[in-house]
Amino acid sequence: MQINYKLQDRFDFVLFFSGIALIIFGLAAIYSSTVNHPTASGNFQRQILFAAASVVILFVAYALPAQTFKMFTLPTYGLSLFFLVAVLLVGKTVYGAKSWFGIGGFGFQPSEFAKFATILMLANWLTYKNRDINNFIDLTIALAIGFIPILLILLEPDMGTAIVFSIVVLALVFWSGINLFGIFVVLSPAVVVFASLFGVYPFIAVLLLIIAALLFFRKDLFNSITVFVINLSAGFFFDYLFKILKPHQQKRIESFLDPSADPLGSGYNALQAKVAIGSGGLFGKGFLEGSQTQLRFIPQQWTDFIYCVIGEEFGFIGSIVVVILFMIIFLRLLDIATKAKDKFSSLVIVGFLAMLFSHFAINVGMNLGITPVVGLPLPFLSYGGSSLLVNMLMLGVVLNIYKNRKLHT
Amino acid sequence: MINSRALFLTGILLIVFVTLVAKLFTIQIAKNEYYSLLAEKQQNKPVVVRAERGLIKGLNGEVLSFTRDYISFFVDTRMMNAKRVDSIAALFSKVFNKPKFFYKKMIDEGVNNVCIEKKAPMEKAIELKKIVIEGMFYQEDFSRVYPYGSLASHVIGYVNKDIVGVEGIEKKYNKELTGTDGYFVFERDVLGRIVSVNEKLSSPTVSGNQIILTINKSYQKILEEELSAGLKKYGGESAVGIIMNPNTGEILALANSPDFDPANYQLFSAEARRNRALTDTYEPGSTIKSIVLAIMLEKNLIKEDEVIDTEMGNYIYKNVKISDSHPFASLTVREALEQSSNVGMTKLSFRLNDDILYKYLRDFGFSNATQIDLPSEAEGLLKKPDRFSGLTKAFMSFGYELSVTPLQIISAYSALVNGGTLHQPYIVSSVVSNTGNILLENKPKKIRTVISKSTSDKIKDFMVGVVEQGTGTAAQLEDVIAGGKTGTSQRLMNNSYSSSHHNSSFVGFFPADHPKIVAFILVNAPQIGKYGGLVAAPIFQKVSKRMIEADLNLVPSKKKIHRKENFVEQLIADLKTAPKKTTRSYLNVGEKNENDQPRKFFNGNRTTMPNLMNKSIRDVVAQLNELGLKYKVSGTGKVVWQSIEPGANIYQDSICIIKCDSSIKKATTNSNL
Repeated sequence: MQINYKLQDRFDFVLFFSGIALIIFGLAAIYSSTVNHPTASGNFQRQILFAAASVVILFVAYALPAQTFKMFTLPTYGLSLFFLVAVLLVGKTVYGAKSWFGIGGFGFQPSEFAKFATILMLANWLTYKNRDINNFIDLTIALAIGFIPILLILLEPDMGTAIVFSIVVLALVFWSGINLFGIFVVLSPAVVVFASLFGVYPFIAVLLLIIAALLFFRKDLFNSITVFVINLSAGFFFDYLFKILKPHQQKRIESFLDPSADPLGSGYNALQAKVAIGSGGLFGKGFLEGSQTQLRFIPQQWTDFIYCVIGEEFGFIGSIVVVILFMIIFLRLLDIATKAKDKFSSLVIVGFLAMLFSHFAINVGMNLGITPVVGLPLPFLSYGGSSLLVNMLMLGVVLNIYKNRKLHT
Repeated sequence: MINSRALFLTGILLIVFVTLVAKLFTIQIAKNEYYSLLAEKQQNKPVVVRAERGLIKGLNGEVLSFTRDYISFFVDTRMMNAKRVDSIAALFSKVFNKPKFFYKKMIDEGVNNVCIEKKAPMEKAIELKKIVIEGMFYQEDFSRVYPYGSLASHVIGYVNKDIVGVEGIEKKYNKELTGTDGYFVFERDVLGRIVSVNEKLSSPTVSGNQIILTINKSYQKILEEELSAGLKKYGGESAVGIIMNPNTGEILALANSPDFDPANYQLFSAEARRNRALTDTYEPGSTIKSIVLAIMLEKNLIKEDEVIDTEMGNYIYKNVKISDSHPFASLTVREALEQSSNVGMTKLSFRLNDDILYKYLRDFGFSNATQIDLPSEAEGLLKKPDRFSGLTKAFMSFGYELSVTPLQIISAYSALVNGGTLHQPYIVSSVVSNTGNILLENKPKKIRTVISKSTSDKIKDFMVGVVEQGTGTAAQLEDVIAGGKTGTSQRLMNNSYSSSHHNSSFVGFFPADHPKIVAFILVNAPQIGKYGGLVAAPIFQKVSKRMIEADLNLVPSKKKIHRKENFVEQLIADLKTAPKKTTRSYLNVGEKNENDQPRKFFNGNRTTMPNLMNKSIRDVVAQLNELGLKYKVSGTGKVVWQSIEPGANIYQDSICIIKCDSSIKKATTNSNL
């Protein structure tokens, strides 16, 4: 047990400063998009407070003993489920989704906290001895741990967060060593659901494909039929779910599938974001000079569409720098995940990576018009305290794991 | 196991990374121009509402120039597809009754932005404005409208396509006429609809101010019509006319012929658009004589009836021949003006000190811009005394070796006849804001008193003589006594005076006792009748006559003037009663002299010979001219013999031989001779 580590060995500066750099980019973009705004001009100062608080939380998480998080997984998960239920009962409806607690002047999003809790819970459960992810029952339980919060979040309804959760659960299951058939079982319902969006014939075609795949895997009849029934019911369940979606969410999904269907509706933001980024050019229009931003073409730009402020004002160069910073974080996370001293730590990092990455990919994707507009913030950059605090907490946990990666318990 | 899965995840990361970078490159670099264009097109840039340009009105409120709000439609061909072109063509062909292919062709062949319908009237465009087709947009396109066409075109001027004044009042008062464009910043909702106007950042549209001119529209119309009629009748290159109130300096009318249409100014030559009344200088010729005589009267250098030897109209001074067009052996000072004798003026000019002549001509405003509120005024030229040659003063006394603008001449004449005060001429009466506040009101501005009241009265009386019995008889008015002075100057062409190109001018005023109107007429290079008295004076007469008819207040109590025709009788009477009288009286009917003969007694081709005995040659010539009788004169002085006896029948072909003798002054009348 060596005590005299170099500081670089105990603290991943690249990871930390990449995060800080993204926060600074975010602050600049928030300032630019709100400085002339009649109602949101206080957001910049508030975000600075959040940023400061989040750095404190990061160091707290970094300083805590290694086992702390594992110890608190179950209560944290329980608490987060409680919040998710409570928010459905007493929450505040923002943009058609009941996903907020109003506490004083600040809002709190339990789904952000639930991401953290679910990752810990799932990682913890998957690392118990004798867990076999390729065992049908274990897999089902693992998926259930993930899908309970997903269901609650879908009830809010918050489509974007539910998608992120699904990706996180998939990533954790994948990382814990699922085999090809397992992946097929987990992924095939998603394919069926997606196909069902396009109508009856694609739905039937995909079901036929699944039958063919089941024949290929040559599993026993019971397993095969079970998987097929799961797929079939997933299709119908989703159809039912789609009908209970709020109209604005149905519109979003429809307008993604056919963007020209409603150009002034939910496609408006996507188009305006694209115009903002596109008009930025190579070097951008300059800080505070972005006309799309300054003329407030994109409503609530400082949240989900913060990336197009950077695209417009800092141009291609700025946009690429942000993407590269994210990539550095992702690759560092993956690196630390492979070097972590135990499976739990590794799974936690991959869960966090999946969460960050899905936010990033979907958010930047919707700014560029390649994914649907599903109300997801861009980690570290978007305005919003809950998201920033949770992300920095997770980063602190990762740094903690990094610090302890060579320690033996 | 973990490593292969990590590799798999790294692969996903890289795929996403490459995808995002490729997409970023596509929209930010490759399609940057397209998105920039889109951004520019749709952004709720503050809407600028262009302010309406102010009106230009005549003195009595006639709107001479206003702004109409037209709409021009444009199509951005880069944003067109077949469907859009079709619907645009269908829409416009329906509204404007033009074939569909007209629009299609225009859009298909156009590059970037194409104007498919320019300056459509608002009534037609109002429906089209509401239609939204991507790539089609419109712009409010103001047009300046001149309701009376070319009326007062040189005064009003014109504006360029950006509605900025280029000439005339439109230029000089461009700042006052231009309003403040409104600037509206809109709050929009998610769908881009305008929700409200941000009042803090917006400013309202303020229309331009109105300019009220001193121009009397009916005078202006009369002046323009008579100028162009005169130009037609006498030929000539151009004509200038100014009507002014001598007591205030207000320009009541100002016209140039040919004129132009300010709405389509680009179709006219710069020649036609030039306001010659103040941009062109010319040598004034005889019209300067009244001014020079007034200076001498003011300085007591001459007496009204002192006799000058006018050398039968031929006088060699310093090897230069000075000649008169109406030759006389001798003339009084008064007659020298009436007959416009260059010889007489030359001889009188010797009495005048160079400096005094210069000082007074400066005082009358020559070689100084009058500072009228119109652009591009010329200053003219006046030699300084130290640059006078031996001939300068003589030439200046009959209007050469100095150049003036028509406006300077009429201003100087106003001072001559109004009691001696030079006023600054002005053409803008007031500037009124669109809310009705008077921002500026021009009051008559006295520059200086040039001559005394008595000098003014006397020279006025001399000029009445010019019209009544001198070179300006063609300017006589029926209802009111007018005065004036003719002017004919050879034009300096290629450094020598042309004998075929003249400036024929006349400056007149009425009513003679208290002039209300001074009018200036100049015809450049008339082809028929080069003399001012034959070309410009008749135009003055027609203009004045029509003004009096049109404006009842100008000469309120019209009384027909009965003019004495028989000058001999008067002359005899003068001789009998000793020539004490310094001014002659012109009588209105009903006061006295009811038994006066009618003015014209030669009707048809039969009449009787008048008695010419004892009359001066000039009177005889004038009288015989009027009769249309041919004549031959020998000798100088007063008539001593006439070949046709008084009272005998004369015919148009008759020739009358007249003998004169200068010793007659001492002789008694012998009517039997």
